Amino acid sequence: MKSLTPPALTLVLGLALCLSAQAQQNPPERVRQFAALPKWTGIWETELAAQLNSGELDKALGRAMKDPDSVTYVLAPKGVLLPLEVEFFGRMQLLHQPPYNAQWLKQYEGEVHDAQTAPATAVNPGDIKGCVWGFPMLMESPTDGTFQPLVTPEETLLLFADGEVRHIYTDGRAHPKKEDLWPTDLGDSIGHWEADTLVIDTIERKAGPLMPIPHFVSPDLSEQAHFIERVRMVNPNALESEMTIEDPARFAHPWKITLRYRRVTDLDRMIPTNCTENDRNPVVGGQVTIAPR
Amino acid sequence: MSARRIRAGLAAALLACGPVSAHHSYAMFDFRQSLTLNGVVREFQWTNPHCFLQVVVTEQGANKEWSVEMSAPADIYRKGWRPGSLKPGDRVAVTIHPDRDGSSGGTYVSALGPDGKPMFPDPTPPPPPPPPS
Repeated sequence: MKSLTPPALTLVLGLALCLSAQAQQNPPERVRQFAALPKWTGIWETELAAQLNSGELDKALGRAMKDPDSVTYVLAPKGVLLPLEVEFFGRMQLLHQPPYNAQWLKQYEGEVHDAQTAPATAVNPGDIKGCVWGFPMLMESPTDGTFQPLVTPEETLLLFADGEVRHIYTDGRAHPKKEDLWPTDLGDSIGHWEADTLVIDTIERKAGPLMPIPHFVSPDLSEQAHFIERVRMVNPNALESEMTIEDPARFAHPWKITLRYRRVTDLDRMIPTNCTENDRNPVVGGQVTIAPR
Repeated sequence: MSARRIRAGLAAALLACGPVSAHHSYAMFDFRQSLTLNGVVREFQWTNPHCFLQVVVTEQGANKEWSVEMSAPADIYRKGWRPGSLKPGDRVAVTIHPDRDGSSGGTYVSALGPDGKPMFPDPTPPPPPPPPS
């Protein structure tokens, strides 16, 4: 048998090593898994943000400004927000009254009464200047509502314009043990696929109101809150998420809402947002102002 | 006040960043009043959480600089604005809702650019659906 010359042997060995490395990077099974995943590529925005941008809310918002008394939703003491802002935020399902148990319903009604009776001056304008939404609000954010999903076999990432990133591990892992967990703004998320539906399980969100501003009314969740989201593409331009929130410390029964997202067609890239880069809105004498250049 | 003008203000209010009207509530602006600033661009700040248009207006021989607050880059980019859309020295006519406190600031509503044409206006909304027969 004719033996290989040293250069030929080097070439063969090099090729074998190369193929081996490539196989390790992308084994056929992973390639198959990748190919089977839904293609959610692109930029998406929450339904409310899309409605605002498209002008679909013009009529309702115009009515709110023309007739402030027509806005019955209670979010903050009167005068803190424009009527159209109240009307707009009142459309967020996550700001509606959750199915509280008797104890928390009483507390909630007290908060509503407080918001209806407190003077606008009770709210420090500095308190309503905020940065990021946290979970679950970012899933219905009407502002900074754009995000880009990145779906891989091991993990789905939801990358939000404000820099928040949800890591949803789909590699089969469980949540860390209780003693290894601590509450965070986004909680701990794992997931799995049921056909084209991503089922996300989230725990360990920091306890507290979804809109943590004194004298504002928003659902208040405990650290026991447990979130299940079932996300799927309902058509090439729409994602839908059925969110169920269980909170045995606060709720009488699970809270179910359906959130929708539209594909963004007028952005060719994600444009980052940031609330500190050039904040020219200091609070002076109890009022938000514009600082001179 | 037209719904589109309200939307311009609300979009500016809401699409900056963070909880409650994004960066801050727009209750600080007087939406009942509109003011058109005929002046010269001193600076166009393409920044978060708000872009700002600094416009110098000359009245009776005196210069006064106005700070016109716009929405975040992520919002106005979608309407067609870019960091180079306006340059220092450009002559513009910018319509604003002024600050309630009387300072020389306000929130952006619309603008006529150096060529006298509207800058990145909202597309014409579709006609309303016909009434039910």
